[in-house]
Amino acid sequence: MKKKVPPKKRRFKIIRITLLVLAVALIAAAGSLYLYCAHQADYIEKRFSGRRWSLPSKVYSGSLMIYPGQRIGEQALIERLHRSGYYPVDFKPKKKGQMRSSAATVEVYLRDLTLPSRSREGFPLTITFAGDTIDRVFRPDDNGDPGIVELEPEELTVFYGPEREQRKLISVKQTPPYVIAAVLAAEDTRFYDHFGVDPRGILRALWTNALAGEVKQGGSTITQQVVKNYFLTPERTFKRKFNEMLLALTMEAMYDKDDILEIYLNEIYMGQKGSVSINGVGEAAQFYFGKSVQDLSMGEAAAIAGIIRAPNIYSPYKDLERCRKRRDLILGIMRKHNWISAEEYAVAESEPLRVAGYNKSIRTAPFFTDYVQKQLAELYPEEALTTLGLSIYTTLDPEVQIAAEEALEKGLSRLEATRPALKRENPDERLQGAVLVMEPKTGHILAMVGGRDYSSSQFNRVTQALRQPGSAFKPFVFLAALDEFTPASLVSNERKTYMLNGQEWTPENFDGQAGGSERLRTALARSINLASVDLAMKVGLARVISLATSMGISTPLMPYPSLALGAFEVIPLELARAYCSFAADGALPYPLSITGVMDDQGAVLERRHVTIQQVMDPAHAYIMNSLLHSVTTEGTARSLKAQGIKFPVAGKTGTTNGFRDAWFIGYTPDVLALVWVGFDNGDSVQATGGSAALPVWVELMKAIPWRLEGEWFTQPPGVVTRVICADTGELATRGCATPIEEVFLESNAPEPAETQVAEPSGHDDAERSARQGSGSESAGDMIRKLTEKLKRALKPGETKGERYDEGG
Amino acid sequence: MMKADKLFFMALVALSIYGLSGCASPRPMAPRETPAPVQEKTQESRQPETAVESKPTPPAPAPAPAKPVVPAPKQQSQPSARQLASLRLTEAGKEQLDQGNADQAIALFERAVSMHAANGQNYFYLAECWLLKSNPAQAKEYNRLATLYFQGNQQWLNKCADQAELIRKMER
Repeated sequence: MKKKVPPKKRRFKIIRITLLVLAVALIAAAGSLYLYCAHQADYIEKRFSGRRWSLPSKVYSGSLMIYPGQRIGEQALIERLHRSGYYPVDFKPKKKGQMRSSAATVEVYLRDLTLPSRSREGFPLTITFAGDTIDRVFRPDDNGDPGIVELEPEELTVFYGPEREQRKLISVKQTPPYVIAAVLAAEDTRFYDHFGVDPRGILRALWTNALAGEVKQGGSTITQQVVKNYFLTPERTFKRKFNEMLLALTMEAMYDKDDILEIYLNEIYMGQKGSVSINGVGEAAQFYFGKSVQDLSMGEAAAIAGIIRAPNIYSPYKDLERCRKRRDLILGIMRKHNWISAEEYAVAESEPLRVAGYNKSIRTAPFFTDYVQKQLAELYPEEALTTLGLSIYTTLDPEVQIAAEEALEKGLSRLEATRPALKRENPDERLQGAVLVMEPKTGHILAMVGGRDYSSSQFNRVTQALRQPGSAFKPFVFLAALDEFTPASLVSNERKTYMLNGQEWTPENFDGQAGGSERLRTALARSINLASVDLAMKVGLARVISLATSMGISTPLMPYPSLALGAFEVIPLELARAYCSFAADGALPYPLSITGVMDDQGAVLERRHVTIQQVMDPAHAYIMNSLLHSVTTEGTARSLKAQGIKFPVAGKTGTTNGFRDAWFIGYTPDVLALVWVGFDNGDSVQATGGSAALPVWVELMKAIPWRLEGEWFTQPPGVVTRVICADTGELATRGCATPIEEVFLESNAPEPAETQVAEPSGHDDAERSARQGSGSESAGDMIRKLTEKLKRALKPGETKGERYDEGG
Repeated sequence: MMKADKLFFMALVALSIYGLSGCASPRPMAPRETPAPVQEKTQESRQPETAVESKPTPPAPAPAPAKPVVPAPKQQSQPSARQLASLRLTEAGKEQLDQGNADQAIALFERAVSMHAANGQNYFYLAECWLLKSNPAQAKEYNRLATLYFQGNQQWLNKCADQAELIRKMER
């Protein structure tokens, strides 16, 4: 017989078992939860322990030097400041990044400057102008002379990753308290009080939504928003919400409140700039108000905080009034929590909202930045460029770049207007052009325009095109000839037939005329084909090729007579670089575009300096400069003067068969610019280099006066001057009606007969003239002097003496 | 008039002397291709003879002034604003160089060259920087340019020569 258990005991047993089961279940659940959270903690740790964000790298221009006497106008400087992110204010600039302009005065509070090679703190600066020149530069705080002031480089482009996010990282410590207050007011007023999940917030949201009959308020804390953005899908399910809460609790257990807030401030989606996503409050401050987060006013901070909920609705670019209302709401919450005073509230609420404005495409100098990107690819993997937040500093001068782009477009449009046959319906087939501007002494690339319109064609005609240079190749021939010939030497201008690949080839001059002979100077100035080919054949084609190669021409050149006329294709960048060596005393510079790379912490990863290599002696370079100067005074580019170029220029035009290419490469000691005009498919441009490319060069130079000193090259040792007769190319005699000065290499300069007899070789002209003037005069000298006196006596009105054989 | 007569007389005397000297040590006749001054001299020695024998001929017309082929140097009484700014960069570069910051100094000197390419000091100090960076090849290039731009300045040329010697030693 079974023992009867009292009901009380039985109930107790049931309760005990139930409790046990519950306890086990609870322990199991807690254990599972713990394991789950531990697993998630590991996941969170992995996600946040390394690099939290992919930061795109940015490419910057060169910096701008500001000093009294600089030829840059007020408007140009204001535009540069705007492009560099300075924003206008109505008062005297008090914070970095602010600027104010009035008649002939610009006041600016400079930002800190950090470059690979130097840095400086920001400071207030006043710049006054006299016309298009800077008159005075001083510090308004102490009226002191700041010396030469360097303005920060301008952002040219950003290398985005596939997600195309742009963000400017900020730290909580550097963020003004009112910005943080505004964000908390908008999103999570109890952020510093809850533990990741805010039950009061959830209840309030439930109540509000129940009353409204729809979801009007979310109960998510900032921590929940962070985990949602990083780890969860956007679906609205109970499971996801539960997950979100667990992750938020885990994250709160792992990190400080400030760490979580910092992640949030940098991660949150803040709007769209074209195809680029604006992320984080730092980037939003720049995007909406053109300021760093430290410079935001309280009203602007509230507006940005208001945008977080729905950037596409509350963006001031979409609806300024709606944005203002939302801002006022945020300000009200801030006031309600006593985070701001009544006075601050009143000021912020009455503040008008002024947005900075933006361009969807901030890409400046796209051909140049492509060129930079290709060079960076040799240093860093592509992923590094889109994730490491590198700052890449370059040589580009944005003002020169803008001038080059405008000059090319104007030049091409003008050509199309005057020659309607050049117009094409298909944008891919339009008349094209390229401009490259370099600093010959340093090889710095100041501007690069690889085509007319980057959006329709990304083919860079400066660095990728292979085009025949035509007569622009002739300087290599003439340089190769300088040891055997002089600028006064005569070369044949007769028609000759040469054998080319077993076939006869008879070159022609541009005007079809032939006969006689020409001095080297005239032959190059007037770009005479027959004389150039004759010279090349006398010098030796192998020598011409070897010289061109040593000057950086890498494309294949064949020893055919047509080489002298530029029949073999070259890359425009290489041609410009080779010409740089003429302008740089014979030193060939490396074409420099990148000057340094820094990581997102400011550490210098890469530093590049000017690299030069002597390829000819300075005397040869000087003679070439002189010969190429004649091109612009009496040769194929002589229209320069009529077009308003008053300073001395050396240069060479180039036109290829059938007018397929039109070139002009012109330079001064300060700057060199190459202009090419042509069709990609080789159609005729119906114009020479002098009429199609040269006007572009002129337009460009007129727009960059601050780059030009107007000086000519310093005559180096080894160059002497003689007076020759233009007709014969020989030293001038008394009967010469066309005496001209000519420069010679000292090594092969013609010597006057009497000095040949009287002087040992190897003395320089200065010595010679000193000796002639001091001691024993030859009978010839005595005669010459007496005759002079006689002439003067007979013709009192004439006082000018003859100039013979002047020393170098 | 008296003065003219006197001069003319002197000319005749001088030409006679020259003629005699020409007889005493005859110079070889110049071929047609020889430089013009030789021909010029021959004419000079002949003309007076005819002039003495016949009536005095007016002197040959003065040749037109020779046309220069290179632009005249710009007349500047003081350095341009750009040059002055460049000098400030040079000074800043020297400070960096004194502190042994070769890279920083190079960047400043290069910028100074951009603004005033004819200042030999920039090249000299660039050579110093490259020596500091143990790159004699680049130092040599800049030393060459410094020497070029210091022509006529013996003090700096001496410095350049000393620098060139250092470069040679480093190359060895």
